Formats: sequence, C-alpha cells, structure tokens
Amino acid sequence: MAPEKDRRTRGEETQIFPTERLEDYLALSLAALILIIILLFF
Amino acid sequence: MKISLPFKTFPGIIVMFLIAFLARGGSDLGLPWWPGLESYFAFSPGAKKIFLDIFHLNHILIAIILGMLAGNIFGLPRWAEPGIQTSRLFIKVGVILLGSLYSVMDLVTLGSTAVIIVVGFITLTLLFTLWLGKKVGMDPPGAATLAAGTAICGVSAVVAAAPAVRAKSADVIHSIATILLFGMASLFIFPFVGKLVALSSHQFGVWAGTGIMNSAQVLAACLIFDPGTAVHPSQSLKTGEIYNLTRVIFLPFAVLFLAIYASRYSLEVDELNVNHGLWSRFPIFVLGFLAVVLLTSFGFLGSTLPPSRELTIIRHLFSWFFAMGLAGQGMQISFAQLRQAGGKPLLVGTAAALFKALLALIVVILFIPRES
Repeated sequence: MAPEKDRRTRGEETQIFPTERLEDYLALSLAALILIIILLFF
Repeated sequence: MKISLPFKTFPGIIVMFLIAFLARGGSDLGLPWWPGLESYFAFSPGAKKIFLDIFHLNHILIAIILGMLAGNIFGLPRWAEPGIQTSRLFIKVGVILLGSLYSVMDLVTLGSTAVIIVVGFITLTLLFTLWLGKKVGMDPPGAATLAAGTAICGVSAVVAAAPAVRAKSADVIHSIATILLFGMASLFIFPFVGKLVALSSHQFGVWAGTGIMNSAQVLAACLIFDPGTAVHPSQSLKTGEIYNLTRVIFLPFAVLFLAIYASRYSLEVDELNVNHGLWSRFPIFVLGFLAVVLLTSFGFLGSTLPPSRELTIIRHLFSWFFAMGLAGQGMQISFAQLRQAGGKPLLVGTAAALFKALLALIVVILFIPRES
C-alpha cells in the first residue's frame, strides 16, 4: 500500500465548497452578519 | 475519528492569519509591538528605497509574496489544506465589504469633464483588453482580471474583480505583476514625456490620472513632474487625484460588467444548477458588494467624510480579509505554474497600458486647456 501523501502537488488550486454558488451564499451571509454586528454593537 | 469541516479549516485559517499579521502588523488588534513588514521597511532607508519607493510594496502584496514563498519553500501541509482552500471565501467577504469605500454621491461632486474622460477611457480600455486577450488566446477570467487592472485602478481593481470573474490565483498574480511593472516604468516615462511635449501641470495631472494604472504611482508621477511647494501645492497632484478618484468610483460598475462578461463565457457551470442561463453562472456575491455601495451612498453606515466609526471598522476588516485570502491564494500557486502561463498577460497588459497612455496623451494635448 502506498504511503499517504502528506503534501499535495504544487499548483493545484482546489476548492473546499462543492459549488461556487454555495461559496457565494456563505460570503454573503458572513458579510451580512459582520454588518449587523457592527451596526448593533459599535 | 471524523472531524467536522469547520474544525478542519481552523489550522489553515490560522496560517493565513499569521502571514497577514506578519505583513500588516498588529496595531488594529492592540498589538503595537509588531508594526508589520511594510512599516518595518519604512524604518530602514535602504529597504524603503527598494521595497516601498521603487516596487511600491504594500501589506497586501507582501502577504501574497510571503504566501508564495511559504507555499513554494515549505510546501502545503495536509493539516493546513482545508483552511487554505477557504482563501477565496475570505476575498469574497472582503470584496463585499470593500463596497464601503464607494459612494455614488461622490460622483455628483466631480466635474463633468473628469467623468466623461474617465468613463470613456474605462470603457475603451476594458473592451480593448478583453478583445486583445481573446485574440492572443487568454482565457476569459484571465483577460477580465487584467482588464479590471488596466482600466481602473490597478491592484485593488484586480483583487475586487478576480473572484467576480472566477479568476485563478495565477491570473491574479500575473495581472498584479504586469500592472506593477508598467507602473514602475511609468514613474520614469510619464514625467519625461510630459516635459518633452511641454504639458502644463494641470494637463499632466489629467494624463497621469487617466493613463497610469495604480493609484500610488499616479501620486508619485505627479509629484515627480511637479513637486509643488508649501505655498503653491502641486497642481498636477491635485488634478491627478481628482481623475484617479473618479476612476476608482467606477470600480463597482466595471466589476458588474466583467462579472456578466465572464458569466457569458464561463465554461464551468455549477453541477447543482439545473438552469444553465447567465444567472446560474453570475457570481451573486457581487450583488452584496453593490448593496454595500448603496448602503454607504445613502448614509446607512454613517458619514463618509470623515469616515464614521462603523465605516472605519469595516475598512480595517476588509483589509484583513484581503491580506488573509491573498496569502492563502499565494500559498496555492507554484513558481512553475507562473512560468507556464507564459508572457500573454504581460503582452496584453503592456499593449493595453500603452494604448491607454498614448490615447490619453492625444486627448490631453487636443482637448484639455493648460490651466484648470
């Protein structure tokens, strides 16, 4: 059995989110949360 | 034991944070003992001359370079990988918050000549860069990122447009490198040509504010041409900054245009989307950016001049998000990959920059009076 690679090949740009749209929704949600916190508490 | 995804991302996010901290310092976080590499360079005359005066490195560029060095020298460890893959999410949140810099109300205070000239040049440069990029076989996201940089205000436009057009890290690095190289050359060429064709200080300001791509270099070229005195401040700087500001204000419109352009030409469609139309490929976080521009414009985030406490916090935050996200993007790019892309971005960027600079010079000589 081949040993598990502990470093991946350089130059492969991979994404953690299954779709780009999901990443966009998450970015929108996080930004909205930040704005709400700033407007409420600062 | 299975560890949930949010926990898996922590180590990589901490690595990105540490690189950002090294680049931009901890004064925002109540840690003034580390002023950041940018300030550190400013203290040493030799380093200041090379890194700040010639290369115009700022904390964002330093974060990218540190990320690239770390990624290429030490490699990307498996434990940090999930967190570093969230780098684009950080950039997207940063771009949404970046909307706090722009107020459409600012357009009202600018002169109509500046608006007409700047809009004309932004449109022409965007179309020329996209056309030339397509001609030489650049992929649409790469060409669109470069178009944002050449048409608007250099590095910040590249950073804002890159996620909207789904650019790869290599596209971002190439576009920034091209813009900085042209910017460095323009510091010498613009004042020299300006003197050669006997432009007035006001005319030079219009030319530099329209033709040079990066904001810091507009300022430097204007001061080289006309340093001014305490009694008579530099007229070229005053005019150049008005034109530069006008250009910057149009960034949201350019990002929207490029997002639509890249969506039309995008080959990748999200697998979960049934609808394969333009909307399914449109990067919807751009709508968040536009929403924050509107919130800022109508005063929901407080006054813009001087910036309210809310706006100041938001601006510090997006600066951190960009530094962290771009450090992560830098870590994911290899030097070999940069070389593989060849000289296409440099060729297209230089051609677009020369096209804009020459056309702007002709317009200035023909239509701009010597005095404001």
